[in-house]
Amino acid sequence: MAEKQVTDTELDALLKMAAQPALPRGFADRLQAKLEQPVASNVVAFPSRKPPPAKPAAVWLSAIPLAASLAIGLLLGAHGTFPNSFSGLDTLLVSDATDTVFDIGIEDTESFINGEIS
Amino acid sequence: MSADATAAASPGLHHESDADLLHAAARRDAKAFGSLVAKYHLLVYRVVWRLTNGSAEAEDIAQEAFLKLWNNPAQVRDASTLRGWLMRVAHNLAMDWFRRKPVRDINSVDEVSDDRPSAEDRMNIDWVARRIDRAVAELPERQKQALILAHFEQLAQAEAAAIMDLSVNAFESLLARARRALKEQLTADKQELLSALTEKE
Repeated sequence: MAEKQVTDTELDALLKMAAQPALPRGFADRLQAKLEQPVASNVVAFPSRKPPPAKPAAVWLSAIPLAASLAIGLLLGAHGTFPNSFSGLDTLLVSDATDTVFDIGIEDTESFINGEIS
Repeated sequence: MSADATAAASPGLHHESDADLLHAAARRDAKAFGSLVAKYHLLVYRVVWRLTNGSAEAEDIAQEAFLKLWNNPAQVRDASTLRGWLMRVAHNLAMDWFRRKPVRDINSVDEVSDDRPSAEDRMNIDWVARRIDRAVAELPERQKQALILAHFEQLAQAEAAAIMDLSVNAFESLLARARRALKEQLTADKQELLSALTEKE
């Protein structure tokens, strides 16, 4: 035969008979001692960043021709040709080129055709 | 209530509200914090003791809850919810304690003794208390907490539900399951338990 189950009223009465734990003696003192301890942090500090090593002046001096090259490159890129300040050099180069045409033997070619040279 | 009695035993402090004490504690006023501890330590300890099935570590866990409060009182945004906050923190710490325990011990209830009583001892009130404690200890954790908050700490269902982060309906359902499980467990010893109850009355 199945046993009759505990009723709600009986359960409430039984629960009132459960043990009531007493606070351990010295609870507050031990807590006080813990409060006075420094807080153990679980945060890990990042290592401090090391300053970059100082660079000698010679390093910066070597940058001057590089910067000049860059500036010239930018100027050429912007204008598509040499600026006006280079016009004299431009003329000279054209003049030299004309001379060079003679030098490389157009006249010689005509002479060759005419059979004056072989 | 024991906690009130403890607070009343601290002359000059019991009249201060939780809000006053909490603000003072935030300014590192150890005396004000001591008043808060005196007011709530038994409550927190009892909850932890039951949740951990009477473990010897209940004291450390309860103290840890107060240490959390001391180290960061601003976590309690509304002083009127301090009691609930402490109980929630205590509950979480107790659950952490269960998780840290080896797996084979998670469902064990060895902290609450279960010495089978002799014939005459079965009428003993201590045996009844141990039997009830063991039945409570064997409940699933959530059911046990619902029972502790509602029956042993006499919290209103809304407050208990808030502590457990549940709706009131969900809390009621959980509590009903806990009571049903408890009744089933105690039915085997019903006659002895009720006899002891009658003796006591």
